[in-house]
Amino acid sequence: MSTTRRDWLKVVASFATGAVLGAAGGYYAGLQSIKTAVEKTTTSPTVAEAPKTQIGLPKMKIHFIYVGPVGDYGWTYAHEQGRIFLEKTLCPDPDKWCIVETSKAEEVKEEQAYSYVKNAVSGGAHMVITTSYGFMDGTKKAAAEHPDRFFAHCSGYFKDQQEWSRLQNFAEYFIDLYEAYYLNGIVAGKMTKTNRLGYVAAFPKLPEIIRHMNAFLIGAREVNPNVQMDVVGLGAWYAPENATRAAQALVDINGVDVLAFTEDTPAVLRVAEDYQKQGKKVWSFSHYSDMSQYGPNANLTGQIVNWGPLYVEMAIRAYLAWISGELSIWSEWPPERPRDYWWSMKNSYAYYDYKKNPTDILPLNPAVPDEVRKYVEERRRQIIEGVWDPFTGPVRDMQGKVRVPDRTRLSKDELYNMDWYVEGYRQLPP
Amino acid sequence: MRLVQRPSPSPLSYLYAAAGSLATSIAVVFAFTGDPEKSLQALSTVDPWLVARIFVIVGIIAAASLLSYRSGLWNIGQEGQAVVGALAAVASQNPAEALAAATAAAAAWALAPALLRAFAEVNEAVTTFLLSLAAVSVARYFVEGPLRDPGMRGFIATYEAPALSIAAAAAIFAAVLAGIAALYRTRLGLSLRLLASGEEVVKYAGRSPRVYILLALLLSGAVSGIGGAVEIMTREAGRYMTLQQVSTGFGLYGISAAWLGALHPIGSAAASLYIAWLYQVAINLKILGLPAQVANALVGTAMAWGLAGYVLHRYRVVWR
Repeated sequence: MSTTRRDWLKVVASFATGAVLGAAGGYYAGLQSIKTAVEKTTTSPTVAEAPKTQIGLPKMKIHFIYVGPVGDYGWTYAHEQGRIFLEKTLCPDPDKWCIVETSKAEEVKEEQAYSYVKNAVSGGAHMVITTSYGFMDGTKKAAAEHPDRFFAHCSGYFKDQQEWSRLQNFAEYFIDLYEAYYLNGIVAGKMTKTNRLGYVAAFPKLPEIIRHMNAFLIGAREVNPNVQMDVVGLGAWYAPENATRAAQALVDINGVDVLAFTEDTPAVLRVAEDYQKQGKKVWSFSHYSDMSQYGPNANLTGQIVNWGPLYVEMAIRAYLAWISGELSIWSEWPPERPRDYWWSMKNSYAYYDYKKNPTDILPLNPAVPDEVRKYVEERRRQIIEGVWDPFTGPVRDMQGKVRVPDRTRLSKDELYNMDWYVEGYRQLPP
Repeated sequence: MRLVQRPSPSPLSYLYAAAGSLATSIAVVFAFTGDPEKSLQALSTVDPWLVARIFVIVGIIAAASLLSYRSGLWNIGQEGQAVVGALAAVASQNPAEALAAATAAAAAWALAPALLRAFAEVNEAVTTFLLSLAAVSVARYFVEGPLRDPGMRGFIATYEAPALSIAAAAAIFAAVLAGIAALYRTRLGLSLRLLASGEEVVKYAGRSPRVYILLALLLSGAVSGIGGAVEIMTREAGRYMTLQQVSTGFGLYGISAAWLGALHPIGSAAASLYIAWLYQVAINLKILGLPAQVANALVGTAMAWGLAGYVLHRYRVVWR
């Protein structure tokens, strides 16, 4: 294993990822470089058995395991769009230019993760991607038993350094929306007339959702310090009826006129749209995917996610490691936190293209005034370039205690485990 | 078409139902894969460990179901009782303690419907079903609060339940079945079964129906709780409960197995094995990329066939 070959493969990985995700027409340049890598590197036994295209590119089988149905318009839907993007990008021509073959299993119970992963591996999958927190232990167990395959798990963590170094073929990944929520919050703070924001939250005590609610409120109070926010919890990711009722109560009883939410359907946006039709200015957002068709008037913007580019990057890394046997192509990436992809707007590939950034906001509603538009765009660029973060100190919690000191930011772990609420909440669930 | 009561019940009907279910499942698999080779793969790929585990869990919950149905009582809250049992297991230090705690907790969970049925004639099907929805909320409270493992970082999940080997789980299942068989041979068991013929019958036998109603529902609940505890303790990985996934769905499978197995301990055990196999087929189908609804419907059709078997056991169909 010469160092030069390894370095060269790493360059190929970076180039191919950039080429297929960057400018239009870069597909072939990227895949051509991968083809050269295939020709120049000796192959491992599982590569020899894999099906090949007419020009000799081995196809890597990637199997996705989802927790929900692909049609739920939320979490699993977004991952499925990512899988389709991956297939389109790395398999533009199945007979010739194709390096992946993807398959999926939906609605998998969390406790059965291990059985599904094991089955996928014995069915010939070279890489298994599991997309629910509850799948973590099952995926890790399978990863330990199959060091010659690749595994990626969404929204988990490594228990300790030892586990991390033991599972070289296993990666954690996640795309977080807090920056997008913050930008949405700016729009909300400017658009509210009543200075009351509402948030319908699936699980208001989950650190992920606390982070999103906090970021949203920080954004709103940055431009309008009089804003206060009321939160209603649902107790389920998918609860359209309860979300509808909660949103109506927030508007009718609490006097809220901007509704943010974390729930897997467009229910809250629809409520806002209904008020708009009755002539009452109530606004909401898209969550996770573009939902503007459900609220063409009420949809201010939204926080959306694109898993595709991340899947492409992971697949290219795994592929090159697979064909060459050089595990480090996969295991030493990304450089800042190897095998622990925690992406957000800062990790954008195609700067400023909301359809390709891992997470972004949708183009703003025409009702948003120009000066707000300009301010949001400025903040958005600063976030993408990494010069601004919503949780930049000083940030105080509800009790007035300084949680983020002046001129500092939070680390990944601090963001990940957030269990405190920023100032500005008026009503929180017990 | 109408149904005419048979002079004597026909046990053959359950065989027909099982055959019908098998035929339906195979037809569904063929129809959706559209390829004999793939179908054969979906029907024949078996992970013995998985099938054994599902068999034991479904079998225990089927036993719980028949304890209630054989007494003419409609406990359909097995799911909730199992969730309570699993919670008790999570709160325990070792498998023995977990089983004891699960039995007690799930029996306590079934106490309210049992009392309401015995003393206020409130329909137990309604109360047990509603309580199984309540169990999910109660479990979430525990997941978020008292049983939350702070070591799980930014995630909300409980501590891990103690581990139980599949052999020990099978022994528990065998003990439950033997217990039921022995119970039904005693005077007590006879009175429990008499209840199915009507409360008056028990009264004429000189006994209080209330006691037996209470006992049947509590036993049913307790055994469901054991099923829930065994489920969470036999997992190969992730023996904890998360906020998102509290309920596992085995309650319904257990009920299906009880009906398909003619409400007989041996029959329901056989049906549980069949449902465990269907479960494996459903997994195989999902891995082949078929829509989840098709896979989930397989077990649903088994339940429909089980109920058909029950009806045909007592009635025959007259076409004119």
